[in-house]
Amino acid sequence: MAKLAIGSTPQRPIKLSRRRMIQLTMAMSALGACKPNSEIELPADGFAPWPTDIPIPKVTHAGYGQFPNYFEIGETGPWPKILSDLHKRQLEKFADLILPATDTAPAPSQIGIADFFDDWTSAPYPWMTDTRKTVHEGFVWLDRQAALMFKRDWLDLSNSQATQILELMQEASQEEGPLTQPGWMFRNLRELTIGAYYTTPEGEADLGHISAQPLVGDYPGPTGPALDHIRDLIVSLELDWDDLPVGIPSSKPIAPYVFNGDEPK
Amino acid sequence: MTNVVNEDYDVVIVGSGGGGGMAAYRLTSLGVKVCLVEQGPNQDPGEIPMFQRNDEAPLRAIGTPDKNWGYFDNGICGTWLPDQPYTSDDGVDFTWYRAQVVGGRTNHYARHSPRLGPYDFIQGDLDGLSPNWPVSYEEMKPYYDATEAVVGISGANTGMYNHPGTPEDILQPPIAPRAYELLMMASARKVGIPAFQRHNAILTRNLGDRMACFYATPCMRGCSIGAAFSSSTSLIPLANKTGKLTIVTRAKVCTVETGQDGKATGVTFVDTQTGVEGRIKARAVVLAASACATAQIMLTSGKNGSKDGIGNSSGQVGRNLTDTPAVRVTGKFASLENRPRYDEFGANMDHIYMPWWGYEAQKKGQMDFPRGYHIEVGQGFRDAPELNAMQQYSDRNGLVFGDGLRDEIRRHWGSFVYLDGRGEMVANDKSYCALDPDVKNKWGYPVLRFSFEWSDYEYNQIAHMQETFSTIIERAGGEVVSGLGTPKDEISKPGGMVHEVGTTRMGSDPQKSVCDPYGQTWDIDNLYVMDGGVLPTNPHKNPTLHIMALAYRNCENLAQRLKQGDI
Repeated sequence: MAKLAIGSTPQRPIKLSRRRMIQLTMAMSALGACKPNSEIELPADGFAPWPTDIPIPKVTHAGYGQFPNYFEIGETGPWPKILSDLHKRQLEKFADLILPATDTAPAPSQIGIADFFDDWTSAPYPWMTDTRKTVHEGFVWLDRQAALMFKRDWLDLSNSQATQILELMQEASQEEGPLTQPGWMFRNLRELTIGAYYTTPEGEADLGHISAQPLVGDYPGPTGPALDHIRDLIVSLELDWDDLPVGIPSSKPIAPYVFNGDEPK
Repeated sequence: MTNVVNEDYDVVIVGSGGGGGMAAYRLTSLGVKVCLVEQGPNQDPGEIPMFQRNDEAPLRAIGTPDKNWGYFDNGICGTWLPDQPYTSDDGVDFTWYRAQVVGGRTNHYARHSPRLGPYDFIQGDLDGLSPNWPVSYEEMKPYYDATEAVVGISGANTGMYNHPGTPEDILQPPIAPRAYELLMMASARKVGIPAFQRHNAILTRNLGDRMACFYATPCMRGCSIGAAFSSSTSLIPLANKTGKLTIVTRAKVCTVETGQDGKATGVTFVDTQTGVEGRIKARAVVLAASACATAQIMLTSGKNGSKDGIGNSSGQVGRNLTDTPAVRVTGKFASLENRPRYDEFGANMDHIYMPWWGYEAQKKGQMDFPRGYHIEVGQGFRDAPELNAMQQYSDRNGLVFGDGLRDEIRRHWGSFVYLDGRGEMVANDKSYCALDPDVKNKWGYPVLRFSFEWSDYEYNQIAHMQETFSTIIERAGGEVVSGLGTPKDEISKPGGMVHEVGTTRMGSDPQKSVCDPYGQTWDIDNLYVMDGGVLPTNPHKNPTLHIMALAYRNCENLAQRLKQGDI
């Protein structure tokens, strides 16, 4: 899987693969069945046209500088925010489909994903420029695509309808070569949603990541089930366990380990 | 804090990192009156954002043009500093990381502190590709001991000839290996590669006013309790206590001034906030601005129009520039998927390493590269999730979304382990820094221009690393997922390891070296260099400890000469 550099620019116009055309046609047929008098016509390339005339706000802030005050970032952050409430709700719907809530983990919208995107798209650094453009153009496009397929705005789609659009974008995102705008939008917003989500306490909890807690005394290394797991693994690989310095000093008798390889004596 | 300093000092030290900080500590404790000049600001060690989460910072604290290594990186630091550009020759992509804050790069380094061994001082005898050091391990040993007693080193001794240990009464207990470190240790040992708990400049026991590590916060941000060594928490406070130290911050030293007799009389600087120029007079000057910055100062000094600067009768200032060649090979371990969670953060830095083991094979000509490397081990779920690093876990099965994505990420979290090679480069004629003839910084001084080339010595070494790391990963049941491209594609960027040394090398021959065996420039007997510039070779054993041990030793020489009136 090619790594997506945050900030790469979509290159070529939308072109529909045969497989995706079939998918889209099926979706349209299903819609047609519900709405026999629909006047929707399938565009030649299968996707609504990507808007090119959306004004993108200029960001002129100087940045937080080279020696910021780490303790006074402020509620609103270093730079003025540019996203509208509509953008934020559109982004929340998108992100919540990427990482739906579970019984134990909140949805991205519940942990402030919209504020993250507002911070990100408002930032005055070059890497955020493409996402700023993608959000402003992309949600206009999503409304167009939603209207095309379901005669509704993006925000009014059911989850299953919205998921159908995301599946098309997902497929476009995994094509070889330069990506289409919907494909790049999917990759970029998905990647940022995941990154932003798992960097929160709630995301870490969902991973089971144990945050570093200050300890008194020596760091013990793995203990309990974690120690059992690694010992069983090392033993099962027929590697030597007995000479490994496990745990705090002197907590385990360690067999002598002397490197007897290619060394001058 | 900056002003025009009228007072006369015994010594003015340029730079407050490992070399400058150690020089300030050592000289003041020997009764010398010191002015320490730092280009960056002071960062009060008591006011470091140790516990701030990345999601409390703008943009999840990722690197930006303002803070290249992330929002919480300590000080004015980066490879790109708007007021201080540098240039490179065509086709050269040298990155020059600068750390401008009291404590310099010791705020950011990995704390890995292996000693040099006897062989490292006599490469000239062993392979003839570099001069010998003008000092031996036996001569340096007491200074390593003394340096480590001040710095505070934890770890285990290896018992290997060229990886000398630390006396038991100085060495603090090692830190328990993490689960993935145990696996890599066991695998390496099985395939005949030594593996040990490494020496770190991280306290596991209290030392003076500094406290033992509490295993919870990233060392790179700084350490208010002083567990992670840095010059700012561990040397400069000691120097301050003597009452002999004056610190001037936000002052960029531009030149060393010399008198009619050719001796150094002090330095000129520019206040980086106001642009006002000033000068500091002293009986002796110690340059410890970092290898390339020191070379820049020396080349900029001297008579107007001189291309050679001062202290450069050998023509070696700026030459012999080396960095550490490196490669990362990453393994994916199905056996580590969904493994039991525990606190894997530890002391933030690596707890183990694999020291170089191939000296005899190299002597016998059985390897196609002359110098050694060591192996570092990372990842697992040591660090908290980072915004830019989650694709490895989320994209294994394509760009999935919706139900199942969480399970996918959770399953793979902690199941990758990488091996990092850190090698020794052989200096070559094509790798150096010099003044750019055309480009000047905002204060009107010429910027540095870099030229750099890895040679086949480094490429062959990288290939050996790749093969070795694959063997270790596969013996441990893993599958290599990245890092096996051609050595030319996979080798680190020049400057990328931030181990540039050699540009003012010391030696026993004034025709081939800039400094004598005590770091005193051959040409100007009251001008010393005490940063990585003096290292005649760049062994793979991270340079900071050696820079400090040399500064410790050479300051005794300087203090004695001041006392005797030789200067």
